[in-house]
Amino acid sequence: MIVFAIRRAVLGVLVLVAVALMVFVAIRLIPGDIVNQQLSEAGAVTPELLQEKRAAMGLDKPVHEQFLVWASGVVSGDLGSSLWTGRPVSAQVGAALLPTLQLSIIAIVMGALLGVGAGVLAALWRGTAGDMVLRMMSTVFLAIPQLWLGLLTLTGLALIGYYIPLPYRSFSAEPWANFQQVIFPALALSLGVAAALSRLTRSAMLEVTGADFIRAARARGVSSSGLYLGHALKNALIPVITLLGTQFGNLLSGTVIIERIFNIPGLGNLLFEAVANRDYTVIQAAVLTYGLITIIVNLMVDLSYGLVDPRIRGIRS
Amino acid sequence: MTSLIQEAAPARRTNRTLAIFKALVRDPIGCTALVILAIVLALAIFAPLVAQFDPLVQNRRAILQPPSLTHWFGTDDIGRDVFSRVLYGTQVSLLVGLMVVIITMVIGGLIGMISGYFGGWVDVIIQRIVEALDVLPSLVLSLFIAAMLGPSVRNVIIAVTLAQIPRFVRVVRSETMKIRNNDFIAASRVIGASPLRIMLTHGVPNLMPTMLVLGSLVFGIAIMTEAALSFLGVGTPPPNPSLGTMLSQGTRFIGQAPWLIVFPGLMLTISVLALNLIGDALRDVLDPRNR
Repeated sequence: MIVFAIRRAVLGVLVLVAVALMVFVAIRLIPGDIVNQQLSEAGAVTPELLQEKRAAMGLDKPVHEQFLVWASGVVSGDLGSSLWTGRPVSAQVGAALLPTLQLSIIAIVMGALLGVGAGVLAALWRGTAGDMVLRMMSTVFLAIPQLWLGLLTLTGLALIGYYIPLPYRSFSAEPWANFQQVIFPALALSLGVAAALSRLTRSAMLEVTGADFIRAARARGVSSSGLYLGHALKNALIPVITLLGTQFGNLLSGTVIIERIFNIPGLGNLLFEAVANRDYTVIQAAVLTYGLITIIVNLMVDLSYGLVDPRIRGIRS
Repeated sequence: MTSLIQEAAPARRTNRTLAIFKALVRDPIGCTALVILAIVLALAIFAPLVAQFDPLVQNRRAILQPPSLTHWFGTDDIGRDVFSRVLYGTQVSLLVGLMVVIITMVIGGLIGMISGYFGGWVDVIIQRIVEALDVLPSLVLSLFIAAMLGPSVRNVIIAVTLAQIPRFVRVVRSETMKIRNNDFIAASRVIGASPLRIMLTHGVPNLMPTMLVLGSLVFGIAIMTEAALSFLGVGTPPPNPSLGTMLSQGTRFIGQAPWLIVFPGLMLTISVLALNLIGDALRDVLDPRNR
């Protein structure tokens, strides 16, 4: 198990390096850099001034040299400083990471509970009106863009005269304000996850409940609820966990939009502003951080299979 | 003998496409979804005939009007007709979605087939690149590319396509690996068919069902991503009406003019819903276990 985890982690780091390289090269292939952007606002631009600015930012060196300088900084924990504001990037990313993580963790937990709950209920009520309603709801919520769901939530709140307190407060500073600011965006994010999970949970439950060991347990006299939660759900969980990992990626995509709608100063907002300003160092750091989050989540998903299914633990150790 | 087979093969293929379509129409959900999609498509294509107002013309005497008989979906803050703008915005959405699906199917399908058919180091290299692209949330990747390229419909198509290709490559690759082990592939290799020929005559037709199901899913995702990019200001540039841009403008009047949020989003959702349902129905129709 440990060997397996280490191997996955090493692979993750390699993928991350590949992502860094791609982002780095892509940014520099595109014409129009930050120096143009900054100086176009200043007016009188001479070629000498452009050269001087670029040299100061290290943009005049060949791309591979720039990458090595940057990469060695990253390894030692220095992400450089923002080309626009001059503030250290690691501080900016660190400050933005917390709201995004809080939002997505609350959303994924809510989505998992709602989705698995609805899926188990739908399987229990198979063929009844309740099953129909749950399945229809999951189909509809799967099709509603997170963008619209977020805006509808805001519209609904405005129509009943409730306005989310602004500006954003961290949980440690003002827990109650933070709760009001996070719970609605998290709900908007979680419904899509719940819809996807409930479908899969339902079909996985139905597949498992047809298995012999369930009939055996029933014959042994295991109670109906014990049967569903203890035996069936546990065995239906593997595909559900896989999907949960994939859904986390979708959810992260959603946070970019939701953070802008609900004015949450997270990674998505940071990336958006950096992209608008062509702030290379911040873009690189933000994109890499998204990659890092995904890799860690994938690793956790891989490891959790072993927790749920002892057979996998045996094979991989 | 050979000529007979060659003549028979294409005929059988068209019959098969037709059979899939017929089965889809017979499926109640599939049929409903097809009808909805056809209506959306017709509204978008015939927007100039359906809409009574120019989507770009401002009317200072009809600002932020709620839905009425004249303005079915109301008007926005500079007096433009929301119904017309929704129809023209749907045109852009469907255009982007269609282009993304076609390009993703061709490029993603090709790369996936090559990766799955040849295996070895070609496969390893392709898979590492796909993994690297896959690690980034698709909207982050699209936002990054679209922002770097600058706002235009063409660049949105490129940005969305690049983020969707990994999904396609992965699925097509694993399907190809399943098909590759069939006896009929070995047989055609033995009689000297080139890899290209095998992929085109055996690979493509056998991959088509999977590609169609995935394609309908990607179509919906593409429409949503286009809206998201436009909402963030890196998608379809104004003044072109786009559902995402309309939603972004609507946020300024959120409690005051909910119709600016409701109708563009509704159109978006209905289109995605129809596409998802077609995908579901296709999966049921094509799944051999259901026959």
